[in-house]
Amino acid sequence: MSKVVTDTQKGNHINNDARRAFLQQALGAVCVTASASILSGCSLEVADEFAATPTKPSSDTTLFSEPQMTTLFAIVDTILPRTDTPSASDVNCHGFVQNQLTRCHTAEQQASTVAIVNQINQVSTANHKKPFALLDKQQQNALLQDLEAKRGFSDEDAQHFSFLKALVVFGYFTSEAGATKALTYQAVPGGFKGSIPANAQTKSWGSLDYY
Amino acid sequence: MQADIYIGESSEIYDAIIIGSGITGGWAAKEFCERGFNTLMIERGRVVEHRKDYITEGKGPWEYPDRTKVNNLLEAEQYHIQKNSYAFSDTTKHFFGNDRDLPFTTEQGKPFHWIRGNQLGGKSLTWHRQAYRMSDYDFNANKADGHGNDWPIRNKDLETWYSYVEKHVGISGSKENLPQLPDSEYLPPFEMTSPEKLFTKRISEQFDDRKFIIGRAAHLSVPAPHHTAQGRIQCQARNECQKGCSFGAYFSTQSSTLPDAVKTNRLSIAANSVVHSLIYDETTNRVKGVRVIDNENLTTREYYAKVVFLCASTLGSTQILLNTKTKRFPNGLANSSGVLGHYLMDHNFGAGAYGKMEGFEDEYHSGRRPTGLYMPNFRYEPSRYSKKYLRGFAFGTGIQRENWKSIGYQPGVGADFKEKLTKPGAWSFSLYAQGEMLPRFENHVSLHKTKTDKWGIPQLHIDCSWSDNERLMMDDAAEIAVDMFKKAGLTDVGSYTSYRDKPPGLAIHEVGTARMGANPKESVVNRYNQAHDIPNLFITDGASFCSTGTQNPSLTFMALTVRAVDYYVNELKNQRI
Ligand SMILES: Cc1cc2nc3c(=O)[nH]c(=O)nc-3n(C[C@H](O)[C@H](O)[C@H](O)COP(=O)(O)OP(=O)(O)OC[C@H]3O[C@@H](n4cnc5c(N)ncnc54)[C@H](O)[C@@H]3O)c2cc1C
Repeated sequence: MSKVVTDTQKGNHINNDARRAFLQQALGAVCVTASASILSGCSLEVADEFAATPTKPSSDTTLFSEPQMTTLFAIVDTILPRTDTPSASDVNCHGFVQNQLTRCHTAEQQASTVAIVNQINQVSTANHKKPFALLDKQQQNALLQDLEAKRGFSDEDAQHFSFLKALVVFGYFTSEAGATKALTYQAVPGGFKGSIPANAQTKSWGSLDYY
Repeated sequence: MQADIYIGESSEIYDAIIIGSGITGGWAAKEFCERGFNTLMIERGRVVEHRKDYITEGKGPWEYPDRTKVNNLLEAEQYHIQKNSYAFSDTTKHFFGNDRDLPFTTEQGKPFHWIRGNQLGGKSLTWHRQAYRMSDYDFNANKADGHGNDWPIRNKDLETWYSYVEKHVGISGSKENLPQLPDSEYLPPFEMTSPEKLFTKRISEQFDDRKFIIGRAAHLSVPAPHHTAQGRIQCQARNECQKGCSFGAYFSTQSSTLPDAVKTNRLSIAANSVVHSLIYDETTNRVKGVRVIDNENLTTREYYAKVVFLCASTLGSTQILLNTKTKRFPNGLANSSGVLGHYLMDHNFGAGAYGKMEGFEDEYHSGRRPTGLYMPNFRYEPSRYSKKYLRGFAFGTGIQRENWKSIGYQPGVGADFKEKLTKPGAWSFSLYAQGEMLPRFENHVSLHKTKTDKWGIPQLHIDCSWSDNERLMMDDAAEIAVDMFKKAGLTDVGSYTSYRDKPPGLAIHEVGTARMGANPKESVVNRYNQAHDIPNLFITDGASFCSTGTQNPSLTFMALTVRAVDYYVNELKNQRI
């Protein structure tokens, strides 16, 4: 008997087509063997029970409108600007935020993140008569610092921003440049040493255990 | 591996059938094959070949579409239970059971997270490799305080078998001469970091009965010649073990037991073969073989053998027994005692603490050590129990310099903040308890009356919950952890209990449900893991446990399994079976 790994096990992207294909496969298998099985209850009802419940498509790329995306772009680069290493937008953190929120986070987290992006832009327009993306660097920094310090922002706003910021940080340091250039990446350390010297220049390991 | 070891239909009568290919099944196969038995290993899942099928090994996080996270849709549809395991991610999900295909039910209001691995190698691929012997205090615990039945064995019964498996497995650790945690046969221990050494020293100075040691782990810190001969090499300290390790640096069926079994040319493997039930012959009172449903096309077939070893994991094995109903055993095979399915236990991870150690900014570590520190149970006999509850707990640790994962939650934006994120931060410490769970009759599994899975097998129904004893223990563990951190000079110390949100199952140390015992009226197997009722049926996985101890159990599963094979072989030789 040869090794069989089903496509659903291999695939990282489960889209509607894959789900449909899987269902067809499962139903097909059950139909073929329903009569052959002497043991019990292999029926279409049983197969139905294992059918996936319909959910919305997993790759929704419209969480942020274009103007919101522009604000998000400016936010991620204010958090992590270009230095001697790439900025957050250089490694597409804004795209990452949309992807990750849609695919791996709850509807509430999606909504509160969109809301905080809007809020940042509204405060910018109210205070500076300009959208956040058009503020100069200093103004952008100051606005986000006010947000973290809850100056003109609520506790809830600060919480939502903290979530967004952590997501941006995650996106950055799990990108190839973030993990290997901004940090030191050891794919195969070759062994464990309990103590090595470190100084102010020592970078963190970019190769972490991802649990 | 030769292709012809994988079989489909067969009318051969094997010398031995082993159900399951995980930690225990792998050992049973090695032992039987090396003793000259024609052996059939039956595994419900697909074949996973060493190296070739470690499809995520060595990938960076950026190579996953969701950066190692599993997307909502897939989680909701296929992994709503497995996702609760700390080790479940996009990097490992293919080695976890699929909850859509493998449904089970739980009693209303009593969730149980049954974490599974259903492929060749079972959970030996994904386990955390922590390996500890049990002590006579553990084997004596039920007798000492009257909960559960007395283990019919003591350390002297297992000692030589522990040694035997440890030498083959390769376990890194340090000799400590602790009464409650007997030493194993060790490869050199992993190093501690300087803050860990200081912490360990301070705890030992302040508490006579407590000691942190380096975690004992099934890793080749320095391989012995027989490891190298198997193609296993030194641990490279990636700590990405659960994706599979092509270096063979940790123990798994694939790296360690299967190659030896295959080498004998006496092993056949029936993969994708879901065991439905055992075939029992009333006239001879022997099992004759197994009924299997094909994992993929649901056709049925049978396999035959002179002896059957159930190594399908604690609940897997019990499910098969419960689903084998005969005239003599209407309530499940080998269940004349009526305790089959009862006394389900797990460990309780429901408490911990965290803190920081100042200093050591000029030190870092290199590599990712695949084990932490470990503090053995100090409440290991009734005279050392707390007044509030019975038995005790061990502590595991996570100790490292902070990185962007936590610094990202600190205030700051801009270039300076970015810089800070790239530097190692303070040394942060965490402790988590691993507490004993009392054996209780009411924590049990049965077959669901109407629900079946897609193979037509009745679903397992699990009725299990923490009792006050476990809750009080975790409350105490959180307090004790904080006290120790403070006395060790840590700052920013805090604690938590999580037993309200974390149901049993998550420790993945489920044991019991076909317990061993001297008295056939109150146990399923005897001291050799042989069914009291049926001489050629053995259950050698965690189902046979009488109590949990505080140690991670798999090393003991291994020792019990090889001992049971040895016993069977001798009985057969002496024509007593
Ligand atoms: C993330 C994780 C971390 C862990 N960490 C540790 C640790 O540090 N230390 C420790 O001691 N333990 C640990 N464990 C637990 C350890 O993995 C198990 O105790 C051990 O694998 C059990 O061995 P087993 O042979 O009984 O079962 P398994 O390894 O689960 O193997 C059972 C096999 O039987 C097969 N099977 C089940 N039912 C059937 C059927 N009806 N027909 C055919 N085949 C069947 C399964 O598919 C599976 O392959 C951990 C587990 C996990 C998942």
